Amino acid sequence: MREWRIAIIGAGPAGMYTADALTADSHSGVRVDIFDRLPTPFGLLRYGVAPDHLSMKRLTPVLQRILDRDGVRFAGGVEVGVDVTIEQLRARYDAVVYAAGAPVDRPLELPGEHLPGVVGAGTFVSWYSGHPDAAVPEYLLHGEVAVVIGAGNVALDVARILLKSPEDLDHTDIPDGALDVLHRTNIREVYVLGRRGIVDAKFTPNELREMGRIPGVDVVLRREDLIIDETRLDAIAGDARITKNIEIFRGFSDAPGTGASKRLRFLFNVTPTEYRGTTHLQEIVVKPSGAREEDGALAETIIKAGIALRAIGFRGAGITGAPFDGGAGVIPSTLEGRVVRDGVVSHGEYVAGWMRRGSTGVLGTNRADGLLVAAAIREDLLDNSSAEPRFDAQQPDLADFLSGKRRWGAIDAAERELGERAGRVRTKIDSWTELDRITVAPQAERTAELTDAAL
Amino acid sequence: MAYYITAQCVDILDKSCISECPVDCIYEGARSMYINPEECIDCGACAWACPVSAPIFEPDLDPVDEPVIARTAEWVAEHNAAGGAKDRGRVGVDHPAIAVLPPREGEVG
Repeated sequence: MREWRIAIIGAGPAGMYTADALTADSHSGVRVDIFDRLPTPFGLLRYGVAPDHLSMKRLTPVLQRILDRDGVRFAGGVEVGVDVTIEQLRARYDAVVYAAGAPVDRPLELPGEHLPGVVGAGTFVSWYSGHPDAAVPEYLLHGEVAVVIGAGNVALDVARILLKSPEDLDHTDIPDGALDVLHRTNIREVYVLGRRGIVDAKFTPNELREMGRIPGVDVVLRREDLIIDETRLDAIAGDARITKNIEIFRGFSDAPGTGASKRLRFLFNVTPTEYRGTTHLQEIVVKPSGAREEDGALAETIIKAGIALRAIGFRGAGITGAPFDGGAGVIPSTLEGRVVRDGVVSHGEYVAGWMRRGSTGVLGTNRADGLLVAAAIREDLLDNSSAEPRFDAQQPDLADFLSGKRRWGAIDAAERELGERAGRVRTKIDSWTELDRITVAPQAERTAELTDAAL
Repeated sequence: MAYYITAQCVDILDKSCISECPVDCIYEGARSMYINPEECIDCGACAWACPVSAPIFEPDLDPVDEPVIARTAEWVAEHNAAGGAKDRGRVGVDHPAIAVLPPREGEVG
């Protein structure tokens, strides 16, 4: 039986679930090589799930089991488009699956957006998750008030981490450096702003309810934000998530304040229009979302805050050599996940996860994505007796790149040891210097230089 | 935290939950399914999929359903229901508290 070779770009949930669907049947003759710019796999599971969401992190051993399969190899620390090109991959693999996610925070493009203190929530999430590219958020020291713009779970995560006492994060895998910075902050009030109403909020109920249970924090919701348009009642009745959310919001509004020293304030039906400040952000101008031009400054509310985080979604970044829809921030594709190049289905190219469908869904959504793309690959190649092999056995294998599993194993072991010393499951290593130090017989693995002749 | 499959599942065994679970932590007894609470990631996909709403998130459990926590832990430990249901295979035996329940009569709602 011939062997099929598939390259997956991105070792996050989308890439891993696609690898799972392709290799679950160990007799299928499928070999999967997974490439990731970082030496540490699992993407947003590792760098996006909040440190206090310990249950969600139980997905890690599941993804690790997939990575451990014989038919799966890991090219960690290899940047596709830079260290190896798409063309080189397409010459060596029967199929390439793009699953590199959506790393770019959507901009709001308001006046003042350049001011220090105004950031995309993704940068903050990356930082507290220990991403080695993340910069220390000095802006966190800009006062006691933060504003989070957005009505999805990322907004909640960010608000919750800002409001929790560092002691409440002590038992998690948050890097020591991040915990130190959080100890120095003094944030007492966090706003979460939704452009539309509570019916349109994208929160999921468990995460929303959790916001009412943060120690030392009172949740505030305006009564007017509970008013629901009659025309929407039918739609709400048919949607269990929205119905549950409304119940939770009513609970927030009914709950008496406890005089806690910290406050979470939800504001719905509001639109930020301007960031103001001199050397850094000092205030944000907000208007009711339906405000008319002629209302002018009468409709404005000024929120004095030194910290603003946009959590309004993410966009993909293009990979050199791959097609990309810059407007939507995704790789164009058919519903089955086949990549479309210049308006035509491109043989041998597929896309999964946020890179395909935008920043929607939850971690588990990627399992269906993986099955979808694997089904398309099966139809086109594995089960297709007339499929033309693309993989050229004459081309040298990219074996020198593919020692990522052992290196990740060493990093994993180092993190667990660090964690154990502090009574945690792990403490993440968040610096490139430290990550680069941890290698497995590095020179022996990478002695062969990949010259143009070899490739 | 975890989701727990209550006695709503007994003799229904619809099993829509299995294909929805992203971590394959739902194991099959004889007359009921069981979630391994150490493997559950609290995503709730099983709850949305279940036609009889058998899986309940721990903080939402009715006081009368609280025994499900202990009996699930006992069953999981007894039968080593771990490492992924597909690999573990069907257990085929229930916790005694489930086994003694009278058969469910009638049809699914």
